[in-house]
Amino acid sequence: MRRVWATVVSVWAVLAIVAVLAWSRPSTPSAQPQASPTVLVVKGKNGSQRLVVVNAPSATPHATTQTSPPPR
Amino acid sequence: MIGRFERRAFRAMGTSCMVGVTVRPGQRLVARKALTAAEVEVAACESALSRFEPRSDLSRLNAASGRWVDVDERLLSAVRSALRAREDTGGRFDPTILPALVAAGYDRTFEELAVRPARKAAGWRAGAELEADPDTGRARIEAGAALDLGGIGKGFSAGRALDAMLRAAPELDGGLVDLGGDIAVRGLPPDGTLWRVAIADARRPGQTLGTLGLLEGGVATSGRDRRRFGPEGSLHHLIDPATGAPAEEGPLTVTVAGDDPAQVEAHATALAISSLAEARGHLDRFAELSALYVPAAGEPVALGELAFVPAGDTVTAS
Repeated sequence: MRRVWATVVSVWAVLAIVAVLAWSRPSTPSAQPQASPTVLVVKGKNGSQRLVVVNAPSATPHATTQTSPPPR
Repeated sequence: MIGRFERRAFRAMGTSCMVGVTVRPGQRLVARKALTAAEVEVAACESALSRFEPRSDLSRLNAASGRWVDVDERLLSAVRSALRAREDTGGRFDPTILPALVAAGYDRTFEELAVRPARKAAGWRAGAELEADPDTGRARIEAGAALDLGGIGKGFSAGRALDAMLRAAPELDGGLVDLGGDIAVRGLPPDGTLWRVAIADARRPGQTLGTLGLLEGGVATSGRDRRRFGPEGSLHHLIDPATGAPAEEGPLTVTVAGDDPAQVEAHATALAISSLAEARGHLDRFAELSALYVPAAGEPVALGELAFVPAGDTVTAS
């Protein structure tokens, strides 16, 4: 019986040590997020222009412009 | 975030279309009303402006042999817009190139085209007489000429559909209309910042060159990457009004952005048959337009009040 209790206590001890180590270890930083989508606003000759093309991979566009396909 | 993006996709004008609005909580029904208004307006524009529909107002005008014809207000407005674009582009955009386009081989719907050598349109000349009288609601094109709004019609219709959409539901914050890549936007997108319009990269299918941020206006792309026909796809649909034949000069694609979606598409059509030097000179004269000129080889060139940041470069907010 003593041996059984010793085994149970050992197992719990090991689990406790593992848990403490896991908790105390600083979490691995996740991959750096992509630079946040940046939209530059530029002022035009009339003071109101606001166009720029940027490479913003994480910004989901609302639409895509392209050459029109042939009409049916 | 000020709301979410409610959108509807459908087919019209021979292409994929999408209309969308920014919807705050509690605006779902009014959003549907707005989207329906936009879809109805696109259908109405197609009925008036299509050259492939024999009963369209445009087809009736072309068949009238120089007589004045009562036409829908949409066609009147489109003709006036096309005339303005013809003047502004010095004839590089010409809505009367149809006979030359047909002679070149684009003489039926694209799916039905037969491969044959290009011909010159006998007796055709650019700049045919074209008139629209808003007081009487009538239009006229000179006998023997024909009108084709292929280089302006979708941009014009996108603007009209956006007007109809936000007129039907003025309480909505903003909306977007996309007719096969001809795009009109107004108001605020769901995140309350700028509408983001990606520019497809014709040289790398499925990828984009970058994203445009717009507050209001239109974006259109024209080019020779699609709609090729003739022997071994050697011809394209961009007719040079100066020669009456498919243009030899010009970029692979050009994207134009500006205030008026119809003018934007027409200027894109004109720049698509222009050299880089010509395009640069053109943009110098129109402060309200910006363009991204994409040659078949080499880096894209930003023209007008447009900055282009190539993929991979770091962007610093201003």
